[in-house]
Amino acid sequence: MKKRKYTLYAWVFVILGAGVLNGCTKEKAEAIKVTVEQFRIEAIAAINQLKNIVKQSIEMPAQDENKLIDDLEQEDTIDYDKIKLLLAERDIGAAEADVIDEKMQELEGQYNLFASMFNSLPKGSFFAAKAVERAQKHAINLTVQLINFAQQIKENKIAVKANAKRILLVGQINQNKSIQDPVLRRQHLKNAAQSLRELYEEESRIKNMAIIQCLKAAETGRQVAQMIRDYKSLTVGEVLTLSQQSLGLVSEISDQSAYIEPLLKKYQAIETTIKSDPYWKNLLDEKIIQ
Amino acid sequence: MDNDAKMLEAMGDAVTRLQIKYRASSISDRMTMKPDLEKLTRDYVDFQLKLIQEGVITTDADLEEMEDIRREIDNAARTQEIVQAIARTIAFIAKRFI
Repeated sequence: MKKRKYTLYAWVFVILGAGVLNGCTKEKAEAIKVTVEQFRIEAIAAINQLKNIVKQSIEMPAQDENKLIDDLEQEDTIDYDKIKLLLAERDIGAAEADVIDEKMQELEGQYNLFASMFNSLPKGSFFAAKAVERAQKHAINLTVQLINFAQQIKENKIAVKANAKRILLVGQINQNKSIQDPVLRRQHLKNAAQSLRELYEEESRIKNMAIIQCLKAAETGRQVAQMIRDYKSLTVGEVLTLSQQSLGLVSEISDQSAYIEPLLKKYQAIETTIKSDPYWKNLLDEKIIQ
Repeated sequence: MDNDAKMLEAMGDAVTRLQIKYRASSISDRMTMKPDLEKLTRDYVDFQLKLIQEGVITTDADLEEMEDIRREIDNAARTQEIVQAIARTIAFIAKRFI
């Protein structure tokens, strides 16, 4: 009787043990899932910034009401086609904005799909090691994409231009220049010069923040790829440390406006580290855009 | 600045210049200019998105594989639940009846 009991216990042990040896503990799986979710959140934030940048580059300022009154006054007659134009003018750029949204949703979908792969991992941690291994390639591709986007912004292949503000500024300066009183004109032009400087600073800030966000997301992606690569060999403690590091990146960037320059330097250093890591270097040499 | 960046800047400047001209024009002139403005804006956005696409590595085949991996991990979760249930049953039997 005792022998049969031990045999049954042995079977239970063998079934669970086989799973544990092949897979990982639930804690490790949970930590990976959390880091992957963090990667998804950071990547989507980066894509949102790209989306806003592209939309801003074509944005026109809303038409001034006084200008509309002047226009109506100037026209000899107003027919239906003119009214139709005035009504349709509000939608200029709307079709292009939809195209931009569609493209960015497609990109977001890649990161959402990647994160969704790990939803059941904690419940299937014993038997999912092989599947997790296959996910490594995709973690790498999605990470390299973010480095590419940062690179494109740096090289002005993604245009950072607060277009509507630029257009308003042109109008403002020309209006100021037409003021007859020299003292008043100078005062207004001084304000315009201030607006010009503010616009330069705003566009620089948008550009730097987008680079930072892409690199921050890439760093989280690198950690995910490392966790996947060393899924079997990492201890629970090591996985938790990596997971905490990725969460730490989020909290440190909360006060972004005050620390933009140091942050940019920090993330550019991370980018350099990724690019000089022998493992990543080979992958990047093959996949990064030139 | 490489050629793509130069081209993008030139196209963006052309869009902005035409927008400024458009805003300053009369209703009649705007009727003539609107199709050109829309075409130029569309070309500019298309070029911008083409450049962004050059940085994208993930292919449709990759997306299919990711779907496949998701199914595999979901299946692993189901298998694990069954195995754990069997193990619990065996342990219960062993404890109670043997």
